Amino acid sequence: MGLTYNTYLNSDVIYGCKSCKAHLANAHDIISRNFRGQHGKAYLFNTVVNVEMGDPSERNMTTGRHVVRDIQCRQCKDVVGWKYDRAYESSEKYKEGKFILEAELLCKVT
Amino acid sequence: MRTDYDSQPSSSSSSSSYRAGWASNGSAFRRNKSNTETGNGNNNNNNNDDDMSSSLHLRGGVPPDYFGHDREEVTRILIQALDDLGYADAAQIVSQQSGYEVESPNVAAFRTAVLEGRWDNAESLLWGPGGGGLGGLILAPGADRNSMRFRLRQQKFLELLEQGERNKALAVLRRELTPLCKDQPHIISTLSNYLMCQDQEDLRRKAEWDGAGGDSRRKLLRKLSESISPSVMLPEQRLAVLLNDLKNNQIEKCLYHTTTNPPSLYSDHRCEHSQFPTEVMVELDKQQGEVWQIRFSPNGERLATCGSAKGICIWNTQTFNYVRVINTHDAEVSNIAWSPDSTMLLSCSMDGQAKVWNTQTGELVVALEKFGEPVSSAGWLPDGRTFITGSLDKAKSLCEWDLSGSLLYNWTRRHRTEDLVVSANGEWLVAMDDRRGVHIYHIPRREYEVDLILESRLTSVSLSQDSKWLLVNTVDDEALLYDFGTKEVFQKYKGHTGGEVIIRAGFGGAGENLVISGSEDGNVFVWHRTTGQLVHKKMAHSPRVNSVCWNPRDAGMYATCGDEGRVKM
Repeated sequence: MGLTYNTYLNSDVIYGCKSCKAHLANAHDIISRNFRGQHGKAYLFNTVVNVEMGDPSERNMTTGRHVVRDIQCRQCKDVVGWKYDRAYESSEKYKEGKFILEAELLCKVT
Repeated sequence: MRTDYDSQPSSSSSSSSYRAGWASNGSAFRRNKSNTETGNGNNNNNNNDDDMSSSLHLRGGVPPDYFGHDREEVTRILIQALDDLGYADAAQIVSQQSGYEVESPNVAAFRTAVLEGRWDNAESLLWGPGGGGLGGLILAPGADRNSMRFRLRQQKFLELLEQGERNKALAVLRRELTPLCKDQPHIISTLSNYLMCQDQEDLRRKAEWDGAGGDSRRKLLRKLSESISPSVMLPEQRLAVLLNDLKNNQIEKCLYHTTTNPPSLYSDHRCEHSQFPTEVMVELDKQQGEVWQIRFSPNGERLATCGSAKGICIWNTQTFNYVRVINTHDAEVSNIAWSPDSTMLLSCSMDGQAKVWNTQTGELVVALEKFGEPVSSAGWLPDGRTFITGSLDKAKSLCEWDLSGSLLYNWTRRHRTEDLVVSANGEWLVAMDDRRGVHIYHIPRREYEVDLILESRLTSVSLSQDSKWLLVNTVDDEALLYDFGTKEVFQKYKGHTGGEVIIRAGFGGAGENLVISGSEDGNVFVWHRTTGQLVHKKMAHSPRVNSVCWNPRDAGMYATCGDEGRVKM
């Protein structure tokens, strides 16, 4: 794939991958903390870095039907959350294009 | 042979204005001087090979100019060159024949007066008998009379001191030098200090002056002649200066320049395309995985490659056999750097380790303490014992170490470093961060000098050997050449593609006239450095060419490496 380095964020509180500490998202970039994933609490972010996206799949979630893709840390390939591609209900449209990271799979990086 | 126009057998012209552009045509004549003529488009055959002493007949109807150049200028420069070459008699004859003189008698008298130390004579010649600029020598525009006077008198003063004539020197100081420096008293005081010197040695040392017998008079003459109008007193070695310029110009224009021989004056210099390295000579594929970086050693004998395979391969560039593999990294090796004496290699890996290896034995010399993030790059200082590493670890992003592994200096915590380069003379450190900035530091003063913020994300940075040019490669399909002194963009090179991965670019060709880069589309690109013209493009690897390197000792060889694990030369 050629040589690539991770992207690094600039902030006082950064969330990173629990296993490899790669930067994932800026703590100030959280849109909502009111989400739940398979492992418990999850946060909705506007942008995340250093992730690779999987294939889209349709899932039934507590809020309705959505098309989502799993995202994995680019360095260690662990799944860290998912991304919303499409939301079928208009009240959920705000999530489209945004990312969920599960708190259980994150750690804080200084 | 003479062309019809040429009625002055001796006046083979050689100089002309630069502005008319250069198209040089060398035609030697027996004195080994070459001709150039300008792009006035005139004919190419001004062969003129007889020397001055033969044929003395003048044809009638002497044309007033020599293929568009002022006859007088050309002849005088020629006469001066003949004199410089040592053919004084010939010079005499030419000047008799043409009626031109290199210097008018006034100028010649001035020159001898200065060289012989007759200062009053010199001054009166310079300014004219009235002392107020009537008659005398015509000065160049912007010449500062006072500073010229000062120099003359200062020389006089120093020489008097050297001879021990303190009183006379003091008199000179009072009468002649003081009125000139009314607003710069420190000069007067420095000069009066020289009065205190015990003897000649002391004086010479203090004033940094090498005495009347040394070169100082000639230097003085040179300085003064800069202020005298050049048409009155020709600048020294004018012909040689012009020819040098011509050569440099040709070299700059030469697209495929790959020879290090200086071009002969006999013909226009153009390297042929056939001399340009375009064919793959050898393919090396011992390195497994993707090859991310290749570097020739500074002496050109070894080639080191590194990549995703966690090992470094070293090859011999004469036989293209592989010499050894250094294999004890735990993660991919992202970058390598040779020490200036070509004995050691520093490897930077993605697991945060940087290690120095002895390339002859393959042994580990020193391993640095582990960084928190990948080590991205390294550069050696010219002493071969200290080196600087760049890393994405913010706390140790730019650090200087010595061979015992101890940290000498931590340069910065302001940014992470993704690539760095140390100038060949050890003066400058250029670090590129992972966003869009290039930071320049001055090494001996340990100072941060300046930042350059670019518009797109950078992938590699490189400095030319003479430290005059800085090349940065960006992800936006562009490589930029900065003039290192003025920090301005000089040229852009397009055509290669960047995007996701680190693609490296560098300088190449004889005299570093070419810029070479890899590309994501698998081609290797070579541009002419000054004009930005694409000289060569060839599919080299698939899917992409990660890095390229030109052999520093052989201008006809370069190596490329790509993702399929092969290295091509």
